[in-house]
Amino acid sequence: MKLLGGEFELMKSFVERNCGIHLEPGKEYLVETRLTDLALELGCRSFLEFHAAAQADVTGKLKGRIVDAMTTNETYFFRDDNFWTYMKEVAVPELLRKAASGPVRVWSAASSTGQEAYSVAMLVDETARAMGQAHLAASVEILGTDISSAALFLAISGRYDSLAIRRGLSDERRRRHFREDGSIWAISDELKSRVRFRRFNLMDPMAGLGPFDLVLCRYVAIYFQEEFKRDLFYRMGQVLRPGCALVLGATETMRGLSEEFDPLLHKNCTVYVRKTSR
Amino acid sequence: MKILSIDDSNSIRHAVKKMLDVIGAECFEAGDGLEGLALLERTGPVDLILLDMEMPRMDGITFLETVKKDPRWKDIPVIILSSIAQRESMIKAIQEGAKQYLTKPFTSEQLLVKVVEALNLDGDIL
Repeated sequence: MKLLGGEFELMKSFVERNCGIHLEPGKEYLVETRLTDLALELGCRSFLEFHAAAQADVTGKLKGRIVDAMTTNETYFFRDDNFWTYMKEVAVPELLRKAASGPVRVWSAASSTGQEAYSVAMLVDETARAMGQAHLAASVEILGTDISSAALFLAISGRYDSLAIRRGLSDERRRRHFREDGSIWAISDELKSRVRFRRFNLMDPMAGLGPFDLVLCRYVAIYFQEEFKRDLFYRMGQVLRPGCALVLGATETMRGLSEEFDPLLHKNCTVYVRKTSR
Repeated sequence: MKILSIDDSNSIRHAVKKMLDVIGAECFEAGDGLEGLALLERTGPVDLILLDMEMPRMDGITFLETVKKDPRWKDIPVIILSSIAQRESMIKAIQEGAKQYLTKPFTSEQLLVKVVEALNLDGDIL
């Protein structure tokens, strides 16, 4: 679908505001190639109609899909609504229940610049407060690892520019969990203290990392060969406590790759629970 | 930490400057290669140069060739910020000594990871 007069400016402004991607004039092809499928899927006959649909999206779901399409393989806060519904309704309440009897641990296995790990910290904090047991949040230790030390440097800083902070994060959460420092948003010291980052190559032995009560390995395995995926899931199973979940990206599956886990479907999110007996 | 951003697009320079605030870098801006050279003469060495390819008056390749021949500036790492359409000139820039390249459009994380690597800010991460 072609962009007509004025439509590029509309989409440019929308994408900048919601994806943090700056589009120069001349980048019309990016909008056309990455968003046409979605626009047609919604029955839009023009980008003007698509823009109106996106603006009217109060649930945020369409915005999420536009962000997905524009930022391939990118990280942002609270990526994938279905996964975060599972986290909010199942995983985090369970982690906090266990935290009442001692520390629990979550692993964000490819944390990149920190958005996933900090999203977990935000949700844990919010849920603990809603339960009237805010102190329990401090017993949920979150570990973020990545192979890129440059990404980790940025994750550890917990600082995001005004475009990055908008990707996936509501105004309310931004105000609640970040402080403004000039044009930058910095994660609160309290949440920062609950997340640790360290460099780790997923090909290395994991013995020193675990055990964990939840492992997030989203949009990582898609880049690996099948043989390595088998090995990776096996080793992750070794550092995951029995009955606890390993979560992959929405487009990924463990089918045919491991006997160590049972799939569990919560609404539209499939997670993989480590079997209790082997 | 001083970074020179050379791009003929005001909006790109503005966006880059904001992104660099994350790591507390001081950003100097130039609209083309000639302005970039003048700025280097005026401010002295910088720690990193972010360079667009297609610009009026002096393009990225000519700027790069000039800088790499000057003993005062030749060791400054250069990251090319360019579009896929300028792939040929991007390859030439790497051959001329540019350290890295990044395809436009890019997110702040994509740019900052390259900048952190080029400046070796992540040297202490274990």
